[in-house]
Amino acid sequence: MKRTVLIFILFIPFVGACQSEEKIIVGKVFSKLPEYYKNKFDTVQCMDFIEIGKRTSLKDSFFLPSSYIALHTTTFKEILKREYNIFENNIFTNDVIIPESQCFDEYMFLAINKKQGDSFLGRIEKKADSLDKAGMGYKEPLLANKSNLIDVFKDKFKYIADFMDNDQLTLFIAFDVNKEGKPKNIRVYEGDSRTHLILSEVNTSSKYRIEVLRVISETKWEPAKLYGKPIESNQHLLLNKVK
Amino acid sequence: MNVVYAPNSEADPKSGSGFSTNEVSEIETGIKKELSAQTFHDYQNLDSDGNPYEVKFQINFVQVPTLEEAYQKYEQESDRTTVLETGGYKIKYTDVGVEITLATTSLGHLKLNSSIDSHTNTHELFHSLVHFAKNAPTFFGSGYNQENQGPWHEKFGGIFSYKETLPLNQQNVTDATTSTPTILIIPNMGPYTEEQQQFIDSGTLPK
Repeated sequence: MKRTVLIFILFIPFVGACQSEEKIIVGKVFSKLPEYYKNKFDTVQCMDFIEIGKRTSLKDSFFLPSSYIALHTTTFKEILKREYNIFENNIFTNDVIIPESQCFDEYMFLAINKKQGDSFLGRIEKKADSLDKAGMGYKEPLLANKSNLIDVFKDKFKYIADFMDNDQLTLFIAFDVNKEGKPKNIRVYEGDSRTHLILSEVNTSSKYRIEVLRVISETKWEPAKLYGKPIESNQHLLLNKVK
Repeated sequence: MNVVYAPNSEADPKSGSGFSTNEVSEIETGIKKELSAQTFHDYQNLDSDGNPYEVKFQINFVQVPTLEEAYQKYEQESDRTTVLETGGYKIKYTDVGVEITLATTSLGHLKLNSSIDSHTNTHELFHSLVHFAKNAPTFFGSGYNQENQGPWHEKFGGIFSYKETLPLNQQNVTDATTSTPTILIIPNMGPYTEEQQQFIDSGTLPK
């Protein structure tokens, strides 16, 4: 009996704290909306977005609130991604972003500050700026001969003509460039460019896949750098109708 | 709807709205061409009660010196203003492949990626008109819901259909091959409930 009472007493303030945290977020987002939009704001939807933020942060993954995405440098974003598991995106990919999704962003602010301490993003911003000033910030990987990847494909990809005048044919090519400047983990996806969805990884025997692997494998890169040291990085290429 | 923008400086292409005056002019011309061709019409032009409707609107591009001033203008006239910015280009990895978003619209923001993809640019502007403008008709759905997202685009037709391919040009390649595009690796949150899986598959929230 005693134990039951104790658990009950401890549980109530915890639930209360969670609810008030959500209410604060809902109120904050709502107060920023223009008057005319307030009657369209969906509180339930906002709570759903907070819930998704909670599920994400429970796995120790975070997303940089979207208000930070446009305003900060690549060095800032790379440090967050590589050292703190904070990714540069939210989870919504529709082309309309609704104000309710700011509830997810606001939750992420709270979760990041809880994990890393107050003013964390401000501290990383200063660190990134000073690295950039010292020339030690993030440097993108470069093709060794200073060409660009699409020119390489135009010159060397056997099937480039297939992409010259085809509205639908799309390949999405992704690969990593390792610290030594070698491409690895090459992935090739294909799909319909009209829907912007590329659903399936091209099967192993596809002529396109084999040719992409050949072209990419032959490229040599100057690896990406951070703190002046080589690091692994990702590269992407969307190959479709060539204009 | 006023589309407010601040041209970038030659020294910094990412400054202001991220588009030069010429590029904004290209965006405006492309959108106006789509409007003259009336590509915004949907298949039926009937509202949810089956009554015919006509969409009336006026689009003005307004130049200001800085992005801060564009935001200020939005603060003052939020019921009929959206701020033009570059961006919105996203690549999302999922367990089933890759999804690409070319541009995005949110309350007060029109984030475009290309000055020449007029279909996508007009598509986004129409999201501003029908989902976020003060006088947006209610039958388009109150704000966001599953009915006016995702597959709804194709169902609704007109400017909301995905038609244009992403033209391959230097800018797109630069976007695609540098770390500029936002990349999402969905964290492993499984095992998923049926509702969570539905959310992951559709990009919309479970009810």
